[in-house]
Amino acid sequence: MGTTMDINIIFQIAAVGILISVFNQVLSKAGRDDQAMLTSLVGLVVVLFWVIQYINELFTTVRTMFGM
Amino acid sequence: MIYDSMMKIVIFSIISILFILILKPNSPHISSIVMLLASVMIFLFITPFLEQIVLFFNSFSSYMNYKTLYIDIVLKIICISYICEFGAEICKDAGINSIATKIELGGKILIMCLSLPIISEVLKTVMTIL
Repeated sequence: MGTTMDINIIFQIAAVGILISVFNQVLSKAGRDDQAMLTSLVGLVVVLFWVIQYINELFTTVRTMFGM
Repeated sequence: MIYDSMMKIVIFSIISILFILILKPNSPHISSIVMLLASVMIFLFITPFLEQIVLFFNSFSSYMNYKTLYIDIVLKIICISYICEFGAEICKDAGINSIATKIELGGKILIMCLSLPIISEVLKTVMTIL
Protein backbone atom coordinates (compact mmCIF):
# COMPACT_ATOMS: atom_id res chain seq x y z
CA MET A 1 0.00 0.00 0.00
CA GLY A 2 1.03 3.62 -0.01
CA THR A 3 2.82 4.95 -3.01
CA THR A 4 2.32 1.91 -5.24
CA MET A 5 -0.89 1.10 -7.03
CA ASP A 6 -1.10 -2.66 -6.64
CA ILE A 7 -3.31 -4.12 -9.33
CA ASN A 8 -3.49 -7.41 -7.41
CA ILE A 9 -6.33 -6.28 -5.18
CA ILE A 10 -8.38 -5.44 -8.30
CA PHE A 11 -7.64 -8.92 -9.66
CA GLN A 12 -8.67 -10.50 -6.35
CA ILE A 13 -11.93 -8.59 -6.20
CA ALA A 14 -12.70 -9.39 -9.84
CA ALA A 15 -12.05 -13.09 -9.20
CA VAL A 16 -14.36 -13.03 -6.20
CA GLY A 17 -17.00 -11.24 -8.24
CA ILE A 18 -16.86 -13.72 -11.11
CA LEU A 19 -17.00 -16.68 -8.68
CA ILE A 20 -19.93 -15.13 -6.85
CA SER A 21 -21.85 -14.55 -10.05
CA VAL A 22 -21.23 -18.15 -11.19
CA PHE A 23 -22.41 -19.49 -7.81
CA ASN A 24 -25.37 -17.16 -7.99
CA GLN A 25 -26.46 -18.42 -11.38
CA VAL A 26 -25.95 -22.09 -10.49
CA LEU A 27 -27.89 -21.76 -7.25
CA SER A 28 -30.72 -19.81 -8.81
CA LYS A 29 -30.97 -22.34 -11.67
CA ALA A 30 -31.14 -25.11 -9.06
CA GLY A 31 -34.05 -23.32 -7.46
CA ARG A 32 -32.27 -22.16 -4.28
CA ASP A 33 -32.80 -18.45 -4.56
CA ASP A 34 -32.31 -17.74 -0.84
CA GLN A 35 -28.89 -19.38 -0.82
CA ALA A 36 -27.97 -17.46 -3.99
CA MET A 37 -28.86 -14.21 -2.27
CA LEU A 38 -26.83 -15.16 0.80
CA THR A 39 -23.81 -16.02 -1.36
CA SER A 40 -23.86 -12.65 -3.08
CA LEU A 41 -24.25 -10.93 0.28
CA VAL A 42 -21.24 -12.78 1.75
CA GLY A 43 -19.14 -11.92 -1.29
CA LEU A 44 -20.10 -8.29 -0.99
CA VAL A 45 -19.15 -8.17 2.71
CA VAL A 46 -15.77 -9.87 2.10
CA VAL A 47 -14.90 -7.45 -0.71
CA LEU A 48 -16.04 -4.49 1.36
CA PHE A 49 -13.69 -5.56 4.18
CA TRP A 50 -10.76 -5.47 1.76
CA VAL A 51 -11.72 -2.11 0.35
CA ILE A 52 -12.48 -0.34 3.59
CA GLN A 53 -8.85 -0.19 4.74
CA TYR A 54 -7.87 1.52 1.51
CA ILE A 55 -10.62 4.09 2.02
CA ASN A 56 -9.40 4.63 5.57
CA GLU A 57 -5.87 5.11 4.29
CA LEU A 58 -7.12 7.64 1.73
CA PHE A 59 -8.94 9.70 4.34
CA THR A 60 -6.02 9.69 6.80
CA THR A 61 -3.62 10.66 4.00
CA VAL A 62 -5.79 13.58 2.92
CA ARG A 63 -6.22 14.71 6.51
CA THR A 64 -2.51 14.64 7.35
CA MET A 65 -1.54 16.25 4.06
CA PHE A 66 -3.81 19.25 4.32
CA GLY A 67 -3.28 19.64 8.05
CA MET A 68 -6.84 19.20 9.19
CA MET B 1 9.25 9.72 -13.89
CA ILE B 2 6.13 11.83 -14.34
CA TYR B 3 5.51 10.29 -17.76
CA ASP B 4 5.79 6.82 -16.21
CA SER B 5 3.33 7.76 -13.50
CA MET B 6 0.79 9.02 -16.03
CA MET B 7 1.17 5.82 -18.04
CA LYS B 8 0.72 3.73 -14.89
CA ILE B 9 -2.49 5.58 -14.05
CA VAL B 10 -3.89 5.06 -17.55
CA ILE B 11 -3.03 1.34 -17.67
CA PHE B 12 -4.39 0.82 -14.17
CA SER B 13 -7.66 2.47 -15.08
CA ILE B 14 -7.96 0.50 -18.33
CA ILE B 15 -7.58 -2.80 -16.46
CA SER B 16 -10.04 -1.77 -13.77
CA ILE B 17 -12.56 -0.60 -16.40
CA LEU B 18 -12.27 -4.02 -18.03
CA PHE B 19 -13.20 -5.73 -14.77
CA ILE B 20 -15.95 -3.25 -14.01
CA LEU B 21 -17.55 -3.92 -17.40
CA ILE B 22 -17.15 -7.70 -17.00
CA LEU B 23 -18.73 -7.70 -13.54
CA LYS B 24 -21.50 -5.20 -14.24
CA PRO B 25 -24.26 -7.45 -15.68
CA ASN B 26 -23.98 -10.32 -13.19
CA SER B 27 -22.87 -8.73 -9.93
CA PRO B 28 -23.35 -4.96 -10.00
CA HIS B 29 -22.50 -4.48 -6.32
CA ILE B 30 -18.99 -5.83 -6.65
CA SER B 31 -18.59 -3.85 -9.88
CA SER B 32 -19.33 -0.61 -8.04
CA ILE B 33 -16.87 -1.60 -5.30
CA VAL B 34 -14.14 -2.14 -7.91
CA MET B 35 -14.95 1.32 -9.24
CA LEU B 36 -14.56 2.78 -5.75
CA LEU B 37 -11.30 0.94 -5.16
CA ALA B 38 -9.85 2.09 -8.48
CA SER B 39 -10.49 5.73 -7.67
CA VAL B 40 -9.03 5.30 -4.16
CA MET B 41 -5.89 3.63 -5.52
CA ILE B 42 -5.34 6.32 -8.15
CA PHE B 43 -5.59 9.02 -5.52
CA LEU B 44 -3.20 7.16 -3.21
CA PHE B 45 -0.78 6.92 -6.13
CA ILE B 46 -1.03 10.66 -6.74
CA THR B 47 -0.44 11.68 -3.10
CA PRO B 48 3.39 12.13 -3.22
CA PHE B 49 3.05 14.60 -6.09
CA LEU B 50 0.23 16.43 -4.37
CA GLU B 51 2.34 16.57 -1.23
CA GLN B 52 5.10 18.30 -3.18
CA ILE B 53 2.63 20.97 -4.29
CA VAL B 54 1.26 21.48 -0.77
CA LEU B 55 4.79 21.75 0.67
CA PHE B 56 5.66 24.28 -2.02
CA PHE B 57 2.70 26.46 -1.13
CA ASN B 58 3.45 26.18 2.58
CA SER B 59 7.07 27.24 2.09
CA PHE B 60 5.96 30.02 -0.26
CA SER B 61 3.54 31.39 2.31
CA SER B 62 6.23 31.43 4.99
CA TYR B 63 8.20 33.94 2.89
CA MET B 64 5.17 36.21 2.73
CA ASN B 65 3.13 37.44 5.61
CA TYR B 66 1.49 34.21 6.69
CA LYS B 67 -1.64 35.70 8.14
CA THR B 68 -2.74 37.72 5.16
CA LEU B 69 -2.46 34.88 2.69
CA TYR B 70 -4.77 32.49 4.55
CA ILE B 71 -3.07 29.62 2.76
CA ASP B 72 -3.96 27.11 5.51
CA ILE B 73 -7.68 27.83 5.14
CA VAL B 74 -7.40 27.43 1.37
CA LEU B 75 -5.69 24.06 1.81
CA LYS B 76 -8.38 22.93 4.22
CA ILE B 77 -11.05 23.97 1.73
CA ILE B 78 -9.30 21.96 -0.99
CA CYS B 79 -9.26 18.94 1.34
CA ILE B 80 -12.98 19.24 2.11
CA SER B 81 -13.88 19.72 -1.53
CA TYR B 82 -11.84 16.74 -2.65
CA ILE B 83 -13.50 14.40 -0.14
CA CYS B 84 -16.92 15.84 -0.98
CA GLU B 85 -16.43 15.30 -4.67
CA PHE B 86 -15.17 11.78 -4.05
CA GLY B 87 -18.35 10.83 -2.20
CA ALA B 88 -20.60 12.59 -4.68
CA GLU B 89 -18.99 10.87 -7.66
CA ILE B 90 -19.41 7.47 -6.03
CA CYS B 91 -23.10 8.16 -5.46
CA LYS B 92 -23.52 9.37 -9.05
CA ASP B 93 -21.79 6.27 -10.41
CA ALA B 94 -24.14 4.09 -8.40
CA GLY B 95 -27.02 6.01 -9.97
CA ILE B 96 -28.29 7.74 -6.81
CA ASN B 97 -28.29 11.40 -7.70
CA SER B 98 -30.36 12.67 -4.78
CA ILE B 99 -27.80 11.65 -2.15
CA ALA B 100 -25.02 13.02 -4.37
CA THR B 101 -26.62 16.45 -4.34
CA LYS B 102 -27.00 16.24 -0.56
CA ILE B 103 -23.28 15.44 -0.22
CA GLU B 104 -22.46 18.43 -2.40
CA LEU B 105 -24.71 20.63 -0.27
CA GLY B 106 -22.91 19.43 2.87
CA GLY B 107 -19.55 20.19 1.29
CA LYS B 108 -20.66 23.69 0.34
CA ILE B 109 -21.88 24.43 3.86
CA LEU B 110 -18.69 23.10 5.46
CA ILE B 111 -16.58 25.19 3.08
CA MET B 112 -18.68 28.24 4.00
CA CYS B 113 -18.01 27.49 7.70
CA LEU B 114 -14.29 27.20 7.05
CA SER B 115 -14.18 30.47 5.13
CA LEU B 116 -16.04 32.48 7.78
CA PRO B 117 -12.79 34.06 9.16
CA ILE B 118 -11.92 35.38 5.69
CA ILE B 119 -15.43 36.77 5.20
CA SER B 120 -15.32 38.51 8.57
CA GLU B 121 -11.92 39.96 7.71
CA VAL B 122 -13.26 41.31 4.44
CA LEU B 123 -16.28 42.81 6.21
CA LYS B 124 -14.03 44.43 8.83
CA THR B 125 -11.88 45.97 6.10
CA VAL B 126 -14.94 47.31 4.36
CA MET B 127 -16.23 48.79 7.63
CA THR B 128 -12.94 50.55 8.30
CA ILE B 129 -12.99 52.07 4.83
CA LEU B 130 -16.55 53.35 5.18
